[in-house]
Order: sequence, then structure tokens, then C-alpha cells
Amino acid sequence: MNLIRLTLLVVFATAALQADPIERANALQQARDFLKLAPQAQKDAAQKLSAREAEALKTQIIALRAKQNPDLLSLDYVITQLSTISALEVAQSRLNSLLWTIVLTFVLLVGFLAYVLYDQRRTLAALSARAQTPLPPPISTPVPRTKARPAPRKSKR
Amino acid sequence: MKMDHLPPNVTRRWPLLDILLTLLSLSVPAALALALTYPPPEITQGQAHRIFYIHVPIAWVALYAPILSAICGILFLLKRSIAFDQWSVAANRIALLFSLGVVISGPIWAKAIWGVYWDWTDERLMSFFILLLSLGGYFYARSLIASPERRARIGAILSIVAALSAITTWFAIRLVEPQQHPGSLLGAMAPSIRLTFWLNILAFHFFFLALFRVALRHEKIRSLEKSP
Repeated sequence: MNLIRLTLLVVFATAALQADPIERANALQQARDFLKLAPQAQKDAAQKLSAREAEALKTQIIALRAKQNPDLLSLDYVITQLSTISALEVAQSRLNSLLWTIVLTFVLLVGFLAYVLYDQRRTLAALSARAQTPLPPPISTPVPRTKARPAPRKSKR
Repeated sequence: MKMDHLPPNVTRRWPLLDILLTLLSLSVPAALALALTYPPPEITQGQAHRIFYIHVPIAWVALYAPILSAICGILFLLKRSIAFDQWSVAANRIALLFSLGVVISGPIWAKAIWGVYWDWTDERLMSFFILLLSLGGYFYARSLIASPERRARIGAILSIVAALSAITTWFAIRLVEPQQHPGSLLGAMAPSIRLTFWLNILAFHFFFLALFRVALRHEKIRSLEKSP
């Protein structure tokens, strides 16, 4: 645990040494302003931050609060690890959902196109075969037999 | 394959239109690629929010197509021309296809965000389910009728029923108080999300036109096979 604390301290110290003093002062002031916000306003403000800005803000907040609570660095490390495990699992599950949606939509649309093209080709072949087949001879219908009309009688004069 | 024996309304070709529609259909993969890369992950939904760029455009087409089909059905009832029936069937076939796409993509998103695939108490989901049943019923009823004229007449009436169901769903999404299914977000999107959303809507509508042309030609050929 001490090793982790020492590593984090070195990382933060190096970052602090490399940072421009004026920028660092501004960033600290921003962190102070952020902490003064109401919880809902903090959430709204956090949603607008980029990943880099969020990381910078987090570093400044920890730097501010670490003076009051020396265990904050190790506590932050543990909390970050735990929330990362959960976040990774959720992110992977959401990514899987997205991939399933893309794959199934693709299969559905391509399947429809394939069915239409196949069925169209089959129907055209059937129509072509039907057109080339000679028509069967007409079925001769039996003529109903009728009694022969008697010849008209010649009038006897 | 020789097609000399087919009537001109089937063999007539529109090469420029076909090329144009094919090119425009290629905008779908381009728009999807944009949807997967351009907008940042949404803070509450993460990557799952990108399902929205597939789900919503295909839902729009699934709601428009039955209305187009009903218009063609009404024209058939007025003019008694079988061509309108063929248009009506082709539009409803695409509507059924896209409705299936909606009920596949919707529950996958719902499982990722709500934790359940379907909510039987949500009016929006149920109204869409009724639309899907109407479209299924339309094709089932048509398959039971042998007489082409009677099939087209009953089909026209059922296409109007399906269109009413589509209109009900459209208004349910906008007017009913949301329970689970989100309401319309058209006015509340970030610029990157808005741009990607409209490009996907446009791309899927081009794709609908291309599919409609394919389905219409298929229907014309099928009706030739059924005719004596």
C-alpha cells in the first residue's frame, strides 16, 4: 500500500512540477469553484467535460482535499479500480449490444435482398419455361348428338 | 435469361435511376461509420446510444411505408388498377422488413439500458407491436385469397388499417407520457448527435427507395406467375 502511495505521490509531484504555475493556479481555482457548486450543478458541469479535462479536474480536487485527508490518495486509487472494473463490464456489454444490432440488421436486410433476387430469378425461369413450352392441342369436345332433322316434306299438289 | 415474353412494365429498365439508387444506398454504410465514430459516447448510455442511429431511422421508414401503401390501396379502390395494388404490396413488404428491424434493435437496446427486453405495459411499444401484427395479418390474409381482384380489394382495406396503426404509433411516441420508451429527442440533441442522426435518416430513406424499387419489380414478376 505504501508503495502505491509513494508511486502516486511521485506521479502527482512530477505532474505538478511540469505544470505551468499560472495554469496550475487557474486549475486549482477551477477545482475550488467546482467543489462549491451544488451536487446537481456539479453533475451538469461534469457532463460537459472532455476526458482530459475531467482527469485534470480530478487531480486538482484530490490535490486540494489530500491536505485535509492524507489517506485520500490510496482511497482514490481503490475506488478508481473498483469503479473501472464495473465500468469496463458495462461498457463491454453495451458494445456487444451495438454489435448485435448491427449484425442482425445487416443479416435481415441482406437476407431480404437475397430472397427477393433468388425468388425473382426462379419466377423468371418458370415464366420463360412456360413461354417456351408449346401449347397443348385443344381438347376436342364431343359434339352432342342431335337427331337429324327430318327433311321437309314436299307438298303434294 | 430471355425476357421477350414478359410485358413491358416488367422489362422496362431505368439504368440511371438504378445507378443513382445504388449509389445513394451506399450512403447507409457511410452514415453508420459516421455514427460509430463521430458522436462522443453518451454519458448515461455509453456506446449503446449508437443503436439509436440504426433504430430510429428504420422505425421512421417502418412508419412511413404503411402510409404509402395505404395511399396506393385507396388509389386501387378508386381506379381498380392492379398496378396500385403492386405498389401497395411492395411498400408494405418493406414496412414489415423494417418493423422487424425495429423489434430486433429496440429490445437489444432496452436490455442494455433498462435491463429487460420488452415492457408490455408501455403504450409506445404496444402500438408498434400492433403495427407489426397488422402487417403480418395483411400478408397472411392476402395469402388466403385466390382471386387477384378480391385479394387486391381486401389488401387495400387492410393496408389502410396498418396505416392507421402506424399513425397511432407515431403520435403515441410524441404525445403519450413516457414510461420506459424515450420520447422524441429532436429538439434536445447535441450538434454532433443531430448531424449524425439526420444523415442516417437520409441514408435509410435512400435505402428504402432502392429496396422499394427491388420489391416492386419482384411483385410485378410474382403477379405474372400467378396469372394464367
